[in-house]
Amino acid sequence: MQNWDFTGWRSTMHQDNEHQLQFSNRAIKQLMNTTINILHLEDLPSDALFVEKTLKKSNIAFRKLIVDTRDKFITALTAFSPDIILSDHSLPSFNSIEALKLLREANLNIPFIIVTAAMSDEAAVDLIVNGADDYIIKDRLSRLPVAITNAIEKFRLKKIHQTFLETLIKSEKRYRALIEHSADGVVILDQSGKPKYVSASVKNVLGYEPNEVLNMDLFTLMHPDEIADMTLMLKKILNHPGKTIPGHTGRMLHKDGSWRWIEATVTNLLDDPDINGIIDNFRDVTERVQGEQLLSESGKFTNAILSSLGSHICVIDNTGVIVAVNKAWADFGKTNGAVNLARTSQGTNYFEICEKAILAGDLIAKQALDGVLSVFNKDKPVFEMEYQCDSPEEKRWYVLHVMKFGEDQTKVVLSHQNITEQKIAIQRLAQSELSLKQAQSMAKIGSWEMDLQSFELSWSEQAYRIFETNYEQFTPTHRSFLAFCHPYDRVKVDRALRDSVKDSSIDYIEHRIITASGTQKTVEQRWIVSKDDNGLPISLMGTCQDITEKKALERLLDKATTMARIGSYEVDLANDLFFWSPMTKLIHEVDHDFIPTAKTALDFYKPGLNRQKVQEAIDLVMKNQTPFDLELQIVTANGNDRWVRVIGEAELVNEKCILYGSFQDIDKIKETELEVLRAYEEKNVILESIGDAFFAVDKDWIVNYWNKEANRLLHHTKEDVLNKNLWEVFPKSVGSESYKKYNLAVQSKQIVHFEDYYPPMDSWLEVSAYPSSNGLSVFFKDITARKLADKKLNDLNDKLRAHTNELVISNKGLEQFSYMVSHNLRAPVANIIGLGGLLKDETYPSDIRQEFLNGILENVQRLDDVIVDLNLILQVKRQISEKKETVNLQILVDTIQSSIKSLIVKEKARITTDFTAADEFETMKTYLHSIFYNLILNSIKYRKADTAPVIEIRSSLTAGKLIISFKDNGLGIDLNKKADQIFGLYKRFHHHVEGKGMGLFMVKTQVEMLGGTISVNSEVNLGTTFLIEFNV
Amino acid sequence: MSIPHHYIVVDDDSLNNLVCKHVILRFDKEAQIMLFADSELALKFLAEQFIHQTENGGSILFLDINMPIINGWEFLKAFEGLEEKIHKQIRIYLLSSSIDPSDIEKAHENPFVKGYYPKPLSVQTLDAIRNETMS
Repeated sequence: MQNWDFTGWRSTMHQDNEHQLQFSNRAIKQLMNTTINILHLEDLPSDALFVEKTLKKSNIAFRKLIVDTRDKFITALTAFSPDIILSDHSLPSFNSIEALKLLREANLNIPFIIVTAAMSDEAAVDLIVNGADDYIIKDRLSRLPVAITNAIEKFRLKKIHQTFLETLIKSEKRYRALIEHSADGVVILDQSGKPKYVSASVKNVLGYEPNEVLNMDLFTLMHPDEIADMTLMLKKILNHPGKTIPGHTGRMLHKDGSWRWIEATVTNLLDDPDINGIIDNFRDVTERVQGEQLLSESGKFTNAILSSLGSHICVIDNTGVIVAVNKAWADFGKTNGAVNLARTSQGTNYFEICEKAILAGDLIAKQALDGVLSVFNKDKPVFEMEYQCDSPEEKRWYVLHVMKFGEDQTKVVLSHQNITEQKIAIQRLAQSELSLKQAQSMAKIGSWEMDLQSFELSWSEQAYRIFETNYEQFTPTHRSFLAFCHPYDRVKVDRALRDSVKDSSIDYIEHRIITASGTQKTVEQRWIVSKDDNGLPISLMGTCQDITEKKALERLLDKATTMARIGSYEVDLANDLFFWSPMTKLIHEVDHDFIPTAKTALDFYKPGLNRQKVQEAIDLVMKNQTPFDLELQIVTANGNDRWVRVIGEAELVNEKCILYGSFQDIDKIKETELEVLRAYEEKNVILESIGDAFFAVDKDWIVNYWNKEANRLLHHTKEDVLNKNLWEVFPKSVGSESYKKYNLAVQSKQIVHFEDYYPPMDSWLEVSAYPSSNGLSVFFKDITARKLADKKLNDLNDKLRAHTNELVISNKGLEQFSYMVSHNLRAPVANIIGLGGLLKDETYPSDIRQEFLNGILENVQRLDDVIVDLNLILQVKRQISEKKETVNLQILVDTIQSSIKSLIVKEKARITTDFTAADEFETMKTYLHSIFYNLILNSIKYRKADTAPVIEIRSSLTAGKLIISFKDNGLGIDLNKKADQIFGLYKRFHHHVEGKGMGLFMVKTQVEMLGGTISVNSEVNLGTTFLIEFNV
Repeated sequence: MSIPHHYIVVDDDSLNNLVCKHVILRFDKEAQIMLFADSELALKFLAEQFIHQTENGGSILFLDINMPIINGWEFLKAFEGLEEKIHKQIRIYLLSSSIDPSDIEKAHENPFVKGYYPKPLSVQTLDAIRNETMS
């Protein structure tokens, strides 16, 4: 940039802007790729996180440091060297204003963006004024990335701009110096102001030869008015060696005697040893100064005009600097507190203000700036825009007008004109038009006007809408309008309109139309005839209302009342004036021209109660205006009885009582009601006459039916229970079977059949409960007799079963007996017979015969034993009547031990007992003794040959049962083979031991007699365990 | 078929065995009689002795029903398990004190039982058995 041709820079400003823009795009791209340091002043971690997330979502590469106190902030400014600062507006110990102040004091130029919760406009302005570059509302964080890039880019451009300007200033100085040292008149003065050197060009300026000038006191050439100034100037020059003092302008005397305006640029180079003088470089600027004076005068005139204008006017140059403003502009800036484009004073940069506003999201500013630039770029000669700019008190509108500043292409004139009043007036007009339109649209009223010369019609928008057409498709004329009318109505409508023009006799008609889309509608037309000064009609102006819906409703109402046979009446009794609607007449079956009177009207009511009632009601309503609503019977003109509902109200009109109301034929309704009543009675008869008891309850268990049989079975009269809660009448039945089943029926919506016992009546009931949407119906009957029979039958069955069991048992006993007879009883007998037969043969030697005889005797003995056993067994079965006593088990075992002492000693038997769980047992002692004796003896008998018998006896209690176990270490029994025979009579399992096979049979029999059971567990050579269980 | 001269009596009642011995001897002076009070021993004897012989129907065995350890029915079951060769040599007759018809019926159902006779054994019984065997 430094290499640019500086002379052209102003005219290339536009290109410069473009370059900058391109440059800015490049920069943003660069920014995307370079990591920026973001210092975030924020005390809420969550908010900091949101900001971070938002940034991460954008393409900005960044490092972020979060600080929340003043100290940390200051440290971070140097340590972190942020590229940009984001700041919450207010922190507990710090705020953004203070932060901005710190930046300013430290002379740090870092973009500063406020990121804050909601904030007032004033506060925002305040922050911007204090140097903030932007502010972002926290819930609009999405704008943040753009704001950051913008801010950074803005700062960068500013920097470039500044550098550029500085360079420029330097080069311009150089230029000036060059010019002044060569082209213009140049004089070098010594310390006292005496010329030391005079350039040849001086003659061009003042007319004197250089030599003349060398001998001159230059002060003599100066205008007397300006000598004092010049003296001061000289002092200043002398005091500032090396410094160029530009642009001093004063008058000097030309050789031709005229005063010339001279502009001098003076540099004190007394200290420069090469020069040792004051270089005064000067030129004639008389024309310019005179031109300026002229301009200044005309400027004054223009200013006066401009100042008197209400519009705010300013002139800006192509860098945006405001060069001049008028009074209105300046005043507005002073008085207006709001942010405004016009709120800029002379010298400030209009473009910057606009850009700032654009960054803050001001779209108007963007439009304005674009507009101004478009004029600069000669895209448009003039730019105009309207914008709204409200003050806190009121709404305001302005129009911005931008145009070229005469021939000067580097400037434009801006004017902001307040157009609020016009705007409001226009809006009001639009509003009222809109209101009318809306009202018409809502009421479906269109308006029209017909020119009586041309018969052309103009329709309002709504009128088009009613006819379902539009402006483009349809041109309304009287004729084309008639085409829309229903064919049957066309003549009528045409005539009505024509008649109204003739004599104004008609201004209203209802008719049907067929709309463009074929819908039939009913419309109501109202119009007036507009006349000229001579009273001649010139046009018709009217409205057209769509009353289709209204008509439909009317028809519907009419239909409904007809269907419901509702008529009406009105009576002015004082004047005996009656009005009956056609329906009322129809109900009375009188002719349509029938005129009722008080007398005739009343006579229609059936004599007696009906007539009396209506008379009373009318008396009351006339007296107190008490409304009435009666259902009465009339006799029609044709002699038919008919139920009617008469509703009446009275109103006092001018002290006269007017009675009016409705008159409805309710004969059918009444008949239905009566029918229902009859059906109800019929149901009653059925419910009362059925043999079953019946009652019904509603959903809240309130009894609404209770028949006589229910009364009889439950012993509650209908009066007792009707309209009461069932469970309040039968509190004891709550929770009963019936209660549960009724609830089940209601909940499941299923019919439930069940039987229940009803204690108060000692009766059994068979019940069927039928749920319905209204509640529950319950049918029930007394089944006590059947129940008793059932019970008897069951008892008999039980007894039969018991007998059968007994029989089975005794049958088993018999089998056992038969077995005994077959084998044990008959075997000795058979032997005796056999031996006896042999003994008869006397040929046998005597010793053999003796053997036979002994055999006989032995068998006789056996026979006797069996008979004794038999007796014993039969006795056991008979002795069940013995009394129970408490038996101590240990004592029992001890007693048995002592009775078989010799055996125990001989066999070295040992008996151990453990009766800690149960040591006593309430039972028949002899039986228990026999059981214990047999089992102990059994164990000793069937001991193992080489092992001394050990018997362990213990008791235990399990689940209400006393269990006594006998465990031995004897031979054991092969249960696989013998399980079914162990407890059989005369069953023995070993040969070597004496035994009849009766012990275990007896044990089992006796255990069973005591109500117990016995089981065995045994393995060959491992011993046997008997378990006896008794119910305790 | 020759007239059998071998008689086996299986009964735990020794007196019955005594009666049987003398009655058989009265019927057949040359009869060879084996008396068993223990049915197990009797079975063992049959299994060992008859395996070497082939004299079909040559031996008559009188079996009691009511015995300890192995009763008559169990004896028959065990006999069934012996070789057929043995089966052919021995004709089994039940000799029981029982006059219970259910016992008699059960006896007839068993294929090895040739007849059922109530105790005591008599010459008439032996005669009937001989006649039956000869015919």
